[in-house]
Amino acid sequence: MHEGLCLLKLELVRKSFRGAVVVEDASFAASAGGILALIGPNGAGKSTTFRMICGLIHPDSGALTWSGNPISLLSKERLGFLPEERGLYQDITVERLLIYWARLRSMRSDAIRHAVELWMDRLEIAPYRDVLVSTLSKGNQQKIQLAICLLHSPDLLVFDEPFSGLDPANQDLVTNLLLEQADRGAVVVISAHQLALVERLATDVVLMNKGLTSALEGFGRSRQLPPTASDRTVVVYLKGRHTPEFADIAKHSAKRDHLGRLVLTFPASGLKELASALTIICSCDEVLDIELDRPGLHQAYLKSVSNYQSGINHGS
Amino acid sequence: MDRRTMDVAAFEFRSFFDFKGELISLAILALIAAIRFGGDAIMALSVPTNLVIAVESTSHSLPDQTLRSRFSFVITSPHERKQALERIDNGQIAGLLAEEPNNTFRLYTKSRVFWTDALATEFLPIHRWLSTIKIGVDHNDIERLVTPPQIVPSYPGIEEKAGGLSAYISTISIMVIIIIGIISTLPLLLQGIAGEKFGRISEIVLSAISVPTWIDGKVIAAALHGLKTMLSYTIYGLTLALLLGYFGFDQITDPDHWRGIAFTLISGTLGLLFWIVLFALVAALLPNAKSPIRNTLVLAPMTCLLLCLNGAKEPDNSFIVALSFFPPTMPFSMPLRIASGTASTLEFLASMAFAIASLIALRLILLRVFTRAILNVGGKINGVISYSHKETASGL
Repeated sequence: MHEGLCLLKLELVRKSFRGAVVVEDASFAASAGGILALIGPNGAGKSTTFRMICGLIHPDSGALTWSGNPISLLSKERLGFLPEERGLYQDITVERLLIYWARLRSMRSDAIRHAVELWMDRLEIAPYRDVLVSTLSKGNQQKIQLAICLLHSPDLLVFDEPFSGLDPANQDLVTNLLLEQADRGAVVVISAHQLALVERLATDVVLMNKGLTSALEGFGRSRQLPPTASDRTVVVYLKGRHTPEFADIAKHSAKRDHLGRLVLTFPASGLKELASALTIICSCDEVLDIELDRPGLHQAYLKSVSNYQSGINHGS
Repeated sequence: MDRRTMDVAAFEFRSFFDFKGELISLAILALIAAIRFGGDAIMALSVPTNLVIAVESTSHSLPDQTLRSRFSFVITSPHERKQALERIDNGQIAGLLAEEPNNTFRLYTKSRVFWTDALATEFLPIHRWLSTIKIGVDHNDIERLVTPPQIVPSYPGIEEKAGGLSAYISTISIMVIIIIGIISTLPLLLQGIAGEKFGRISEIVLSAISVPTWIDGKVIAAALHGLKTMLSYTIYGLTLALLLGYFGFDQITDPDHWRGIAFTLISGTLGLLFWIVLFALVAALLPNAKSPIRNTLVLAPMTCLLLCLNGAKEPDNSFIVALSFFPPTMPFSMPLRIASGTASTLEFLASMAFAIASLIALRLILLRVFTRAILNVGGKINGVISYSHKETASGL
């Protein structure tokens, strides 16, 4: 977990609708300066959890605290919430909409002008200041929604799918904004299906599946220890055929790829074993390429979800 | 009150503020005025005036004729018809009226004319005058006989006075203006609450401000919108009434009417607020964006209006008295009773107290179900209500 001051904490939070449990004993914590990513399949309970954090709905049981106090005591002016399903007033100009939102955030008149100009510039929507929201593209509307959440420099940012509908350039823009917000000490909680972005961005990753949460250790920016050597896999692309000498390489597997190359895969357990294996390979065939593969968030996610599913299927 | 309540109210009010309706109404009003005055003026300029009409009679006198009349009448003897016809040919007089049997007069003119109706109207008092002389009775006695009796009510010891036909017309107008004001708030509330709920705007708004702040802002905006509509129609109505001569300025500015106007304004505004909160509650509970309930909502206040309209001619009817204490019908029945003078100040105050108590209770119910309702898309209404009870019971 990120080492900043732990502010947001969920302990055994549970929520059900009409008898169906949507969030079941969810527990995680997020710290100032950190970015916690909640990942999981559709219908896992992420949005419901976010709504509970933002006080839109209340948990049936469990504790939801901010700095040790019930989160209901957290002033709404300190919260920036981006819901998954976007909603904006349409028949209003961009600038007027942002000013209205700044007023709803209880900002002072002098601060409003500055904040509106700043975020229109930062999110590159200043050229549209006098344009009706309804005429803007989905991506630009998404940026307006982000500006609404950031205008008042909130202490807690809860962003449900912030990258949805954004092109790669704007995904980078939002990534940098979120990193900046964390750097200034805000607690940032996001959900996203773009796991590569999550790996770049998040300091902590929590997997949510069928209402249950589990921390995915060793992923995200804040990971301090590299994966163990046994986690690594060497992939060697060869020109020729599979030879009997490869039998000396422990735990290897070989298959041919769509380009006709022989792909030899084996665990990289220790430098001595690695050097020995490469010597054997080089003596038998012409090496085209070598890759060092380590398990990523994507694989961990799929593994966790499939483990959970097989657990259900086996009744455990 | 939270400053942001007024921010929400101002935003909502401005979003729905539109001059187009007012401009169209104003244009229609201008057209009516143009027809009423401009048309008359043009006609007055273009039609022939000071037409001298000779009337065959044995009498030697005529009543005083007003200076503004289009026609002036002179007496001529039935034996001098030939001379009279010659004067028509010479252009000295415009026509000759000769009496025939069955109360008919024949009009002799030089050429075809189109002012026979106007002549008939102006000739009526002359005809009556000449007829009374002919049959030998007093002209004033005849006038008394042909004029319908007027009944002037008097209630010794009671402050309020019935206002007759003009009060009846005014009351009906007030009821219609109030229903227009109430109905005009429906689109704002359906869009502002149901529309934003299904458009997922409510979710983000309520992460920034509390439910009471948001709801109160919407209710204030709707009330302002309704009052603006009512004010617009009142101005148009009064202007039209003045133009068409139903009222005089003296009646509008009469201080005796101010108490009634103030009471009507209070009851109208409270009734408007009651209906707005009721509409807001229904809008919050709508299970989907295309719910047919949207289209039938307008029938509720209309039914209440129709119930009260039945009592417009007998405002002291016990049914109407009961309706004036029932908040949904109060905005229609109480102004009726105020205008007719059948509502005492105490009854008015009691009715307003009922309305305020209902308004407060309805607002509390609205706030209670709202948090659940905004996320209830496609759910059943009773589910929302039972959930809101659960939330309240658990103290969350």
